[in-house]
Amino acid sequence: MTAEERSSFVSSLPADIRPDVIILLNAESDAGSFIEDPFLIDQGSMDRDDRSAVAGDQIDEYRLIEQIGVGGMGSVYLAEQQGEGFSQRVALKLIKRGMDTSSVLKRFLIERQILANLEHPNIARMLDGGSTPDGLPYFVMEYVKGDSIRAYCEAKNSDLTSRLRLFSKVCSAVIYAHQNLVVHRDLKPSNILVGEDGEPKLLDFGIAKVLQPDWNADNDAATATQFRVLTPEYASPEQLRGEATSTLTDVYSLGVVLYELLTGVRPFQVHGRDLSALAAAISTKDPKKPSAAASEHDDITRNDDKRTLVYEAHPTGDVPLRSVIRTATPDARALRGDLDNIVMKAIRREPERRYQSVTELLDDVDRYLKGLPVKATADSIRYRLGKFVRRHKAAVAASAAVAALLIGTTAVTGWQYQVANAERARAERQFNETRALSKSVLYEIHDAIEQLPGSTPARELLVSKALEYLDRLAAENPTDPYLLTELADAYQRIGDLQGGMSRSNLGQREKSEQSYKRSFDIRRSLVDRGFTEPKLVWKLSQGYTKMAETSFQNADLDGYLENCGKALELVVPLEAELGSDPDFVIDLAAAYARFGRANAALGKADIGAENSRKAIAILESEVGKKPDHPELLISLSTVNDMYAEILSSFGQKAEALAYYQKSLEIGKKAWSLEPSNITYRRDVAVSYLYVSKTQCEVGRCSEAIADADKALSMSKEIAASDKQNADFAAVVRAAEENKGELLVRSGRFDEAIRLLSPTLEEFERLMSSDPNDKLLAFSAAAVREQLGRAHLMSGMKDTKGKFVSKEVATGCSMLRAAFDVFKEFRDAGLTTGEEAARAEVISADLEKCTSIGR
Amino acid sequence: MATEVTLLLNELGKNKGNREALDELLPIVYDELRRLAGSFLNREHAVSIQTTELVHEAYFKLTNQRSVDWQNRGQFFAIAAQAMRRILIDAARSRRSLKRGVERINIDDVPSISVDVDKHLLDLDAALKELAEFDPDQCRIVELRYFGGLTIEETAEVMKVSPATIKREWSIARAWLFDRVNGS
Repeated sequence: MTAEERSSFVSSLPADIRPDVIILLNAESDAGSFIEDPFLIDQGSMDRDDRSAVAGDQIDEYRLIEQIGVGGMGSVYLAEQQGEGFSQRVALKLIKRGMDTSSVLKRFLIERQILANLEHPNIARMLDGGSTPDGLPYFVMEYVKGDSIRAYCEAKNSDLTSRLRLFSKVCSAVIYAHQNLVVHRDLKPSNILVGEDGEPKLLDFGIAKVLQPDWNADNDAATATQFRVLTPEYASPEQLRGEATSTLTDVYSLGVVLYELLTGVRPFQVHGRDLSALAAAISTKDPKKPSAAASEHDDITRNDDKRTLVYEAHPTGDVPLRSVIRTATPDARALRGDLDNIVMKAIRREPERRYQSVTELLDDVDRYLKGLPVKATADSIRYRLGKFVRRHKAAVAASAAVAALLIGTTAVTGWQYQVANAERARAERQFNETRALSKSVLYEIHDAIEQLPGSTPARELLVSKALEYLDRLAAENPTDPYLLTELADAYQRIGDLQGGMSRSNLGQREKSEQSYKRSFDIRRSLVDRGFTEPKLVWKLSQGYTKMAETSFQNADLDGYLENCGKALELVVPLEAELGSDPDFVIDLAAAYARFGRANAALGKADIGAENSRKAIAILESEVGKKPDHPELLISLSTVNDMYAEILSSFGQKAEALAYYQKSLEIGKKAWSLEPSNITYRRDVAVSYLYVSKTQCEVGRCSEAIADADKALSMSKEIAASDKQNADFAAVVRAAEENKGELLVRSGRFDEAIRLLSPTLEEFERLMSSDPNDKLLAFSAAAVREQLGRAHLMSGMKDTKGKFVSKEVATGCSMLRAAFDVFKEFRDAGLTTGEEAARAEVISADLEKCTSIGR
Repeated sequence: MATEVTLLLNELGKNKGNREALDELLPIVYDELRRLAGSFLNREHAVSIQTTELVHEAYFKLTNQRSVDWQNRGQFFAIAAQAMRRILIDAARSRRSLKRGVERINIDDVPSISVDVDKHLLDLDAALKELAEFDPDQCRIVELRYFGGLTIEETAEVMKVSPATIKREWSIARAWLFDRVNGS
C-alpha cells in the first residue's frame, strides 16, 4: 500500500475505528517480509521418510549396527566391518537419494588416494567408499566417539583458554590437510568431535568436494545444489555465491566455529528457512563483534537463570578462594579487543582481507594465548587516534627526497646496467611512450597543480590515469633493472599520492598500501638479485619506510618497529657515499627519528629520545651548512615535533613545549622562504596548535589562547582555499576543539559554547555520513566532552549567581554521552595512556551531576 | 483420477456447501501435494520449492486440464492451499513429537534450522485459527497467498472480489498475524 493509498483508505473509514486501523497499518510496516512470499518447502519442512537403510542391513562388507546421525546429506551409521579374522567398527555415511551417484563415485575415486593418505591424529581417516545396491553412494570413515566441539565445551564448561587450545588443535589439523592439498569446505562444530581424551577429530575431510565440485571445475554442477552440501551458516560468502573455493574458505568457516565457541551463537542466524535471506545477509551485512554477541547472549542466559556457580580452587589447597559466576560461554569482556579482531579478520567477507592461511590464524591465536600482541587489528584506529599530526608530518622528508631524486632522470648508474644493455634497448623503445606519459602526469603535472588550492579532484583523476599506464608497463614483466627501478619509484609515488602519511593525499589508504607493496617488492628483488649500488639500497630502505608506515596505520607496532629498524640499518652505511646529498641527509635523519618513535610507542622512552636527538643533530648540522633550504628546514621542524611528542607522552610537558616552540619557529622560517606552499602553511598552523595545547598542559592556559587563535584562523584560511581537502577540514575541527578546551579551562564557558556548538553539529553531520569512522566518533566525543563541561559549569556558576538547571541538564547529558564513547574505546582496548584515561576524567564531572540530581 | 477430481470440482462449483465433495477432494489433493513435494525434493539439484509451483503442478496432474477453467481452478486452489497448510503443520507437529522421543546426533545442523520453521508454522497456524474466528475471509486470503502461493489477482479470482480489496485485507491480516505471532 502506498502512502497515498494508505491515507485515502484511512480517511474513508468511520472515525471510531481509525485508531485501531492506524495501529494495524503501523504493524504492517513492522511486519516487514513476514509471510510476504509463499512458504518455501524444502528438505526440512516435509516429513522425512527416508527408509533406505535400517540397522542390521548389510552394505558390501559392512553391517549397520545403529543410526548415529541424520541430516540433509544423508544418514550416518555405526557399522561393523567384517573381514577375514577381524572386525572393526567404522562410521558409514550413506548419502541420500538425489545426489548423482555416478559422478559422486567418479570424483570419490579420484580423491580417494589423497584422502586415504591424510594421516593426522586430529583427522578421522577416510577408509572406503562405494555404492549400495540401490545406487546410493556411501563413505566409510574411522569411527569417532565424542561430542561436537561446541557441546563438549559447554558440557565441560571449558574456560576461554582451553577453548582456544582446542581450537588451535583443530587449526593444526586443517593446516596439515591444506599442505596435502585437501580443503575441507564444510567445517562446522558437528564435524569436529572431541573424544573423552579431549582430542578433537575432524570428520568428513574432502567429502564436500566429492559431493559438490567447484562450479568452475565442473560446469554442469548447478550452483543450487550448493545448499544441499554445505551448511549455510558456516559457508563462506564465495561458497554461497557458488564460486570456486580455496583454503580461505576453510579460514572463514574456522572463524565461524571460533565465533560460536566464544559466544554461543553464530555470526548469522537463520530465521525460518529462508536460505536466500541468509545468503544475502552473509554477503552484505557485517556480523556483530563476538564480544557484543556474547554479551547479548549472556543477558539471555542470565534471564533464563542458567548461571552456574564455579569455585576456583586455591592452587595449594581445596579452599575456594573466590566464587565466580560463569555462563556456558566465556565472559564477553574477555573477548573485547584481540579476540574480536582475530575472529572478525577470519570471517571477513572478502577472502583477500581474511587471514591468508590457517597458519596465520593459528599464529594469532597462539600469540593471544602467549600474551603477545596479535596481528589482526580492528579497523586500525588505535594509533590513528593519537595526535593526528603524526600522520602528516612524519614522512614529508622521505617523499620529498624521492620526488627530487626522480625528476633528475638518471637514477642509477653502474656496471650492472651494462649487462642488461641489450634488453634495455629493446624494452626502452617499447616502453618509452607510456613511460614518458606516466612520468609527466605523475611528477610534472601533478606537482604543478598540487600546491594550487582546490586541486583535489583534478589530482584524483591524474593519479588513476597514471596508475593505468603503470599497470600496463608492469604487465610486460620487465627484467631490466633500470626500468624496474623506475617502475618501483612510480608505484611509490602513486602510493604517496593515493594515501601516504605525507602530503595532501587522496585518502585512498588501501590502494596506497597496495602501491607501496608493489614498489617494495620490486626493490627488494633488485637488491636480492645483487644490484647493490648505493642508490638502489637507499631506495630499498625507503621501501621499508613505506612498509613501516603501512604497519603503523594498521596499528601493528611490532611491524612498525621492525621495518623502521630495517630502513635505518640499510641507510646508515650509505652516509659515506651519499652524505653530500641534502635529500639523503633528510632521509637519514628521518630514519633515526622514525626508529626512535617506534621504540617510544612500545614504551622504550630512552631509545626513542636518543634516536630523535640524533636526527635533530644531523639536520641541525646540515642546516648550518645550507640555512635557506626550505625542505631541510621543514624536516628539522618535523623531527623536533617528533621529539616533543615523545617527551610529552612520557609526561615531560615543559621540555616538550620548548621543542614544539622550536619546531614552530623553524617551520615559520621554511614557510617564509616559500609562502605559496600550502603544506608548509598547514604545518605551521598545526605547530601553533600543539604549542598552545602544551602551554595549557603546563598550566598557562590563558596565555595559550593567542596561539590557539592563530592555529584556528590559519587553518580556516587553508581549508577555505581547498574545500575538498578532508585533511584541512580536520585541522580546522581540531583547532576549534583545542581552543574550546582552553576556553573551558580558563572559565570562559559561554564563549566555549558559542565556538563548539557548530563544531559538534559538523561532527554529527560527518558521522551520519560515515558512522563507521571510529576516529571521527572519538573526536566528536572529545568535543562533546568540552561542550558538556562548558554547559555544566556555566549552569552551575551563572554570572548572576543563579543556578540554571537547563544548562546543567544539557551539560550532564553531553558528558554522559562522551563518557560512554570513551569507555567503549577504552574497554575495546583502542586507546592507551592519556586517551584511555579520559573516561575517568569525565566521571569526576559526572559525580557533580549525580550530586545535584542530574 | 483426473476425471474424478474434475467431477468433484464441478460438483463443488454448482453447490458451494457440498460437504461430501469437499471431504472427498481434500485427501486426494493432500496426498498428491505430498507426493509431488517429495519427488520434487528428491530430484537432482532441487533445494526448495515454492508452494506456488506445487499447487499449480498438482492442479494439472489431478485435473488433466490444460485449458484454464477459472471456475474449477479457483475451487481447486482454495482446497490445495488448505491441504498444503495441513501437510506442513502435520509435518511440523510430527517432527516436534519425534524430537521429544529420540535423541539423535545432529550431523549437519539442519534440524536446528527446522526448529525455527516448525515454531513459525505452528505459531502461524494457531494465530490463523484465531483470525478465522472473527474474519474467516482474511484467514482464507492468507491460506491462499501463503500456503497456496497465489498472487493477489489469483486470490481475487478465487474469492470473487476486487484485487484492491484483497490487497487491503491481505495487508491487514498480515499485520495482525505478525503482531499476534511476534508481539506481546
